[in-house]
Amino acid sequence: MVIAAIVLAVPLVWRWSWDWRAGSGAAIEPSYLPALELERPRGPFADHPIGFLHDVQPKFVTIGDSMAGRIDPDVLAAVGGGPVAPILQNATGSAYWYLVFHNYVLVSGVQPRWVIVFFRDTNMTDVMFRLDGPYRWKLDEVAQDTEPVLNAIVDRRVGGGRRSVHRRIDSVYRVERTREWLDPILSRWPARLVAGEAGTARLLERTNAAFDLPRLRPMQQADMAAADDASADFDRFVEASVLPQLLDEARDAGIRLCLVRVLRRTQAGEPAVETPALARYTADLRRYVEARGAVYFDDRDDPELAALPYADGDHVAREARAPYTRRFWQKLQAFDEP
Amino acid sequence: MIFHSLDFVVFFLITTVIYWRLPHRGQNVLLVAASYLFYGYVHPWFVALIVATTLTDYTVARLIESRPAQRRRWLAVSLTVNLGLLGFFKYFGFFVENVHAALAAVGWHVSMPVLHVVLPVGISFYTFQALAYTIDVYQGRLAACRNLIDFAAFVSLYPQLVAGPIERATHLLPQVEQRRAWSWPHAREATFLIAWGFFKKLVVADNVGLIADKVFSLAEPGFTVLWAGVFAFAIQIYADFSAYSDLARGLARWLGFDLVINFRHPYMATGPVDFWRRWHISLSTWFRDYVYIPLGGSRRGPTRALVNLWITFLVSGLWHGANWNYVLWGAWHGTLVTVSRLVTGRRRETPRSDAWAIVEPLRVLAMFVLTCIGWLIFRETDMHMLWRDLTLSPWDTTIGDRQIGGYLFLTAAAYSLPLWIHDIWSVYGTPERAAETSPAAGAWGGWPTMGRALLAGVALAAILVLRSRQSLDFIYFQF
Repeated sequence: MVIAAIVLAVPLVWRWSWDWRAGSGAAIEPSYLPALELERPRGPFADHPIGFLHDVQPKFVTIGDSMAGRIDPDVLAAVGGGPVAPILQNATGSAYWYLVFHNYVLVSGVQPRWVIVFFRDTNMTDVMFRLDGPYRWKLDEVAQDTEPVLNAIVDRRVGGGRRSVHRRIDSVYRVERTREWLDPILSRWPARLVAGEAGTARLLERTNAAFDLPRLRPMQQADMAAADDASADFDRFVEASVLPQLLDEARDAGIRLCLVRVLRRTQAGEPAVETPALARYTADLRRYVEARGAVYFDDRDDPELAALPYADGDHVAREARAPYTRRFWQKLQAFDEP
Repeated sequence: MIFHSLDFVVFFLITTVIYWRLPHRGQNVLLVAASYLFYGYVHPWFVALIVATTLTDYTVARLIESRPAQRRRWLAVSLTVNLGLLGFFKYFGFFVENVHAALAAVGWHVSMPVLHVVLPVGISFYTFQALAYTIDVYQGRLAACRNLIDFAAFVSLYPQLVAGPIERATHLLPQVEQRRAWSWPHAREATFLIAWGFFKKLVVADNVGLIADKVFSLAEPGFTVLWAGVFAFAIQIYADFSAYSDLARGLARWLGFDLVINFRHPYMATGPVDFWRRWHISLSTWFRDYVYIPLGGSRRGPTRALVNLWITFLVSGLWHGANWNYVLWGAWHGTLVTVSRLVTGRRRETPRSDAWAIVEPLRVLAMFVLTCIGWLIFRETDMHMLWRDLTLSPWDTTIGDRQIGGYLFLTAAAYSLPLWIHDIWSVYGTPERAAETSPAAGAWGGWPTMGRALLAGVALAAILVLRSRQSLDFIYFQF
């Protein structure tokens, strides 16, 4: 018993270390996602996009991560005949995009003709994509003190029993909070030893770039696509995703929603081979979205887009943004009746 | 079911509590039921295979005893069934692929059947365990087991079912047949082993494994990045596999069983022969006793001994997987042991006298480098890439590449530091090097109980915050 007590007591050092760090500034608050965590310090809600929407009174609001950078707002404003309000944030997922719509677009009271959401493959039904870990700081900016709708969705996705064990352990030992400050230290110090303080950031960047998708063996690229198949089960995940809520809220507010599945990096001007599971998933997604009155574009279906040049990863090259935007408007125009 | 899952924790707690409330016979029935549940948790049809192996070897061993005149025939039945199942599930695809390639090379393009089934995990392990039992009975070293439940528990004992240690019937079967008593000191030792095992798996193996996986997914890694990846893989495979063995031994101790030690600080080996006394001991001794010695061992002269040695290493390589790189890996170690024998003759490879104290670290380092070359062969399943990697020159690198390689190397080294400290301490730091040979080796055996409890607490603390966010399967599951 004494031994068990010692073994279980030692990790409490993380709790003390956290309390000590928390004492030096960060305030701990109850989490807006209690399905994942009980409490933690959080960043403030950033309300300036609401003012921005008021000022712009946009015809188009674009939402997404760096994939939404395909759209050139100036070009879209010119061809589409109305202001564009991009609310984009790199390294975000569907939970973030839903909160942007819910807490910015709807709260602002503006009535854009179109809200356009850009995503990759299964992002729209994977609420856990870029939700926890280091991504939570970004989510804080768009989350209110409580987010019961999103929390219920997350709860459905993660399941009760297993998560509650993790949550209990976390509440006793402050595991996640410790990792927040420990993880960056662990990844940075070997880089600092190799490249010095000044070269650390550059070395970490180069290391990430060295393992980019195009540098992998073809089989490994295929493996990455295969790994996505696990989440390419539409029926299984749709009710535990933000998609139904997003569609319902847009319909209720009288805002037209356009979901754009972007074309991932092409190989020699051809889209990468799609697995049968992902192809089935995409067909299901299209049916679901269109049945609920939204517009769905799959960039894979457009050979003209496959010819556009790419920069790094799945990002199109800067010079491709204008032609992409014009092509996008060409397609959207067909649905843009008053 | 995998050890590092909540499902397993619940399963283990429930079965252990019930287990110690049952009489001996009931314990064995529960062990069999629990083991089959454990094994068939994801793929229930796996259970049919282990039942087939169990029934075959149980029956064959009884027949060998009751009908001595036909014992050879019955042994052949066991060999055919066991190796037939193993060959079908593990090597059929490899065989078809190579026949197809050979026929295509002579211009004969034929359509060959393809087998779309998962390889049953652990089949190589329990097949060898059951086979060794039958051979022992055949050779008169062991009486055939009378009780089918006892035998089924011996074949399927869940802590070591999927990745060993490969137990001998002479060691494990008597423990199954005899009454087992609960012991707090045993449970305490088991807890330390389990804590150390989880630490090695979740903190060391899974973190450095991500580095190895990334490097081996690159189309054209430079020299320093490649060898940083090889170093990471060397750490991963040792931490991962020895972690499984420690967990198996720890969990088995909670059930009152004592399993054999599978690893004795292999990266502290001073030469190839020494390495094989320390690495996957239960498999290397299996091949020694059931392949090398029956082939004649070293009794028929030095040339024949070398031939036997090479056969053993090549088969041992193929045991690991159905691919030519595993055969090459066996050949690499066969070469190392051959050269070592030619150089050192029959004398012991590791003279640990004071006179050798200065050169010993250099020998350990040299052997580690040779082992890493072997791990490159083991890890690289694409033969074209393997050739490219082995012929890559140290000048095939840029400054940026060297920095990335250095970064990956340091990261892997940092995560594995406790492992190195433990092994160096166990081999060089303890009086009379007691920990190296103690049954508790692998879990800071030479330390006082309170010190070990603190270390187990530190291990738990590390698991909580340093555990890789992406958990990998145990590597040896695939074999």
